[in-house]
Amino acid sequence: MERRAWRTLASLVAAALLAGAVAGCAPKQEPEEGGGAQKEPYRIGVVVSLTGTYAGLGIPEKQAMEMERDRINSEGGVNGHPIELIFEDDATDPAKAAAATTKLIEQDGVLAIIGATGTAQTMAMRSEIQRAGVPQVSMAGGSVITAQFDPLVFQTPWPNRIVVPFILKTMAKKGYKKIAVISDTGGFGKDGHDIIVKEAPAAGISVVADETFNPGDTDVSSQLTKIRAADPDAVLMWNAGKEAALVVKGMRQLGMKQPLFGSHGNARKEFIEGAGSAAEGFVFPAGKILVPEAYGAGTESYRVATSFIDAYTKKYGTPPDTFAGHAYDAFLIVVDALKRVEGDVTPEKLRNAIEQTKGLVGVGGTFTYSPTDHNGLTESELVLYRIENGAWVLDEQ
Amino acid sequence: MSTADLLQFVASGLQNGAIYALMALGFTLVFASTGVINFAQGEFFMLGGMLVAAEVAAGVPLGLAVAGAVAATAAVGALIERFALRPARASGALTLIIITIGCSMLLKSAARHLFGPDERAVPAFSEGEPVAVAGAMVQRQVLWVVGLTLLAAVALTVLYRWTKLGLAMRACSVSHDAARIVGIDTARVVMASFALAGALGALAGAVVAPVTQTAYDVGARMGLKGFAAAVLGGLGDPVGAIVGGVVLGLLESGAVAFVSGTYKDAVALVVLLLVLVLRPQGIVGRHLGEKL
Amino acid sequence: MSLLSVRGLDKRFGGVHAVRDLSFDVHPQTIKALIGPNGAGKSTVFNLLTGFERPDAGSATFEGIDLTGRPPHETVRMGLARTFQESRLFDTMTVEENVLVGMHLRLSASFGLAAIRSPRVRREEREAREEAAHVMRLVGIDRYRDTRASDLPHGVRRLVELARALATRPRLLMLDEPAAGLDGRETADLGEVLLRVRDAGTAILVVEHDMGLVMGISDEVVVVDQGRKIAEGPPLIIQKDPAVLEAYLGEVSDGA
Repeated sequence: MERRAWRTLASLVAAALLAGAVAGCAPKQEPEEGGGAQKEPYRIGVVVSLTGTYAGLGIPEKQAMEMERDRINSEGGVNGHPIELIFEDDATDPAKAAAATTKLIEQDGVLAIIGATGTAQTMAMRSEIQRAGVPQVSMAGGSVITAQFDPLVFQTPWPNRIVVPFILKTMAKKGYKKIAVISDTGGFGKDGHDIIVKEAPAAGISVVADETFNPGDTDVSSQLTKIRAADPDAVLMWNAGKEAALVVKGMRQLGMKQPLFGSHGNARKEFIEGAGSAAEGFVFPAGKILVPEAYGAGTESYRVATSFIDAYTKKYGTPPDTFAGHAYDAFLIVVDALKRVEGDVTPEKLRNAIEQTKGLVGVGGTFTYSPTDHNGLTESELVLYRIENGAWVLDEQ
Repeated sequence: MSTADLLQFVASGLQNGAIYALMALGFTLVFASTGVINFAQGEFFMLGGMLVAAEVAAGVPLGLAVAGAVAATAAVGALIERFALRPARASGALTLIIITIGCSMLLKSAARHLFGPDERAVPAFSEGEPVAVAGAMVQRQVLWVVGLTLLAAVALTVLYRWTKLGLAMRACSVSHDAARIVGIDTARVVMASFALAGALGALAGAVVAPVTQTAYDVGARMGLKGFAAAVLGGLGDPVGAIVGGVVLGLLESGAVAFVSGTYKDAVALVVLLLVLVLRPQGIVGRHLGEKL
Repeated sequence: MSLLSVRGLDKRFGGVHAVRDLSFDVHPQTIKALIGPNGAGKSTVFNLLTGFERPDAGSATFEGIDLTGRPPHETVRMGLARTFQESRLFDTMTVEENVLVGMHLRLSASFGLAAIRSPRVRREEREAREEAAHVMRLVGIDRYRDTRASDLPHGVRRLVELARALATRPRLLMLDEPAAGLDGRETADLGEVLLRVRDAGTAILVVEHDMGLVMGISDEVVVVDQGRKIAEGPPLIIQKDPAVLEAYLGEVSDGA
């Protein structure tokens, strides 16, 4: 072929490759769910991590919301209005989360935004949320989301501010007075680390070693060596990514006999797969969804949780994890608030309705918001789990 | 700090260093033969681990899965050269580098679509408790990492010094024109270099996946570190790649041990910048960085 | 029967018509000089014949087989060898290694990926080293055998490239200004070498500006001006050709 023709072909190939890559990264836009209702759809934006480090959390979140949207719309929508969910992928990147927020507000005119999957991404959305006055319901667990209080911002997971004292009390009760902390430098890990350091003295615990690792690290044995040298009674890990398996296996490698405790960020079956036999005995706090008996048979919580678990498992072939649960709760809260708005729905009215949520039974717990509490949950929603024979069992509380 | 701790840091450094060395070899082989910096090298690493995970999940025995992953990624490397790069050969190094970036994006999103976003576990090559080596405790898989890296280094040396392909690659790394006029098919050598780079990257990915789990997005970080290691040792020199890899691994381990784990990833970037500014030909630096 | 047959070779580079409808022959065991004023397109002819450039029109055959458009490594295998105006040596290797590279690629028929050394390969290598030694002696560079190519004086580099080209056992050797940078005595020695090479069975096509060398060793000369052939024939006739003289008016040709 002539030189010029080769060059044209090469440019076309390069362009096709780039286009393919870009297309591969773009989120699939959801088709409209009509549901047969006559009225205008209520448009809700969703910022979720479908790619990047938190994709393993974001995808179950999206699936839970899609399932619930379909169910609600098939039952006639909210007051006759169908719900339209518009998903945007933030790729676990705060900048993209902020850009997605702008797009959802400016181009799609959403009434509220559910998101993000991660703490740093949630915080990055805030200035746009404030500028537009649109309420935000986050699925991320960093305390800073509600500690830096904003009337527009709500949160559905148990925040670190509640979980950390819970686990610290547990560790103290089991007799561990000197602990080492190992956390990742992502939003959730850093937030948890700071609260641990602050709350440990109140629980009667001293932190004798404090190490960090980065998301994406392939080895943490150096950090663990320093921890081993400090001779702690137990180790507390705070992260939400796949490096958790590295910590567990690393401790085994170095012959460390101390028990390892973690957070609700480790409530993932991939953690068990990755850590293998080293995960035995790992203890962590989370909501009751992992072992629904914890809700108490016959209660409304149990009914809500088990119908969610059954429907999700039937549709997606695998039981929902805690992250799917947070998304279910976020969607539930928005839908419940929409029902209570009088007259035409505006973002401001919707925000007020969300803030008035009382006793709403979700999967992560029963939510009651107030002008000062945008978490809505208490420590009573948490239980302690232990990994035994590769599965989660309830640990003694 | 006790001696046992110090030895542990060294062991950690060598373990990571072996992986960086394999990645650096992939960069250096391609750069030497073609003058191109192949930014898809990190994705070769990712493919190695992900393909093994997928094959094992489909029931393929582990050894065969590793061999299959390495061979498949070598083929991907050759295909990239043949169909994405060779047609644009006349366009200059910068365009070619951009094409490799495009290929890396394509590979990454293909992996995400094929395998999903979640991390995947890969079984260890041999079962058993961690063992003591020279005063440090290492997981058994780490022995595989170091062992296979050494094996790869030996195999490459044999290839380079005692086979016709190795001679052709050495000739191409000095001058393509001179190579052509002694009858070397430089196009084939370039394709073979890419295939080898694919195999090396995949081997690194496959052997470390049991330790770290693997996911569709692990390529970029490892690619950057491999590149930094190659530049540190001397881009274009296989010995430099191994030296650079080991040194980078030890420097990272030292940073964690004596500073903080937070800065570990920054080490590679700092090293890269310092080398490019102060001594572009790298530690071993036999080829002066004309191509750079 | 001509060894190399060039017909209607044509090449443009943008606005420059470098080679215009060029036709000539080279016969076996002869030395043919390709001369002409600077910028006449002579190096381009070499590039076209050895696959470094593609002609816009025209063709060439070598020993009756079509040469046009083949990649460089194939032309070498067919029996052509060429050198460059600025020598392209393997600078990090010694002179002997440079020469050996030319030979190694001929060993063990297939360009296989794993042609690991076996007793047969080792014997071939021993024979190759002997042949390399012979070629280096012939060209007069054997005392530089173990010197790194990057450390060589300029004139010797040209000779190393010549030796390496000879090592590929070509039937036609194409030399691009082999005498550039050589002094009078070295040029005379080079002429001797080329005559010996011809007598041993290799034809030579040489681009040269040194008229003394050209007139002294060539069997035939082809003159090219601005890409077009303006004369072809034995040296003594060419010397007197009015078109040639006119083309060279104003040119400073050394050693005439």
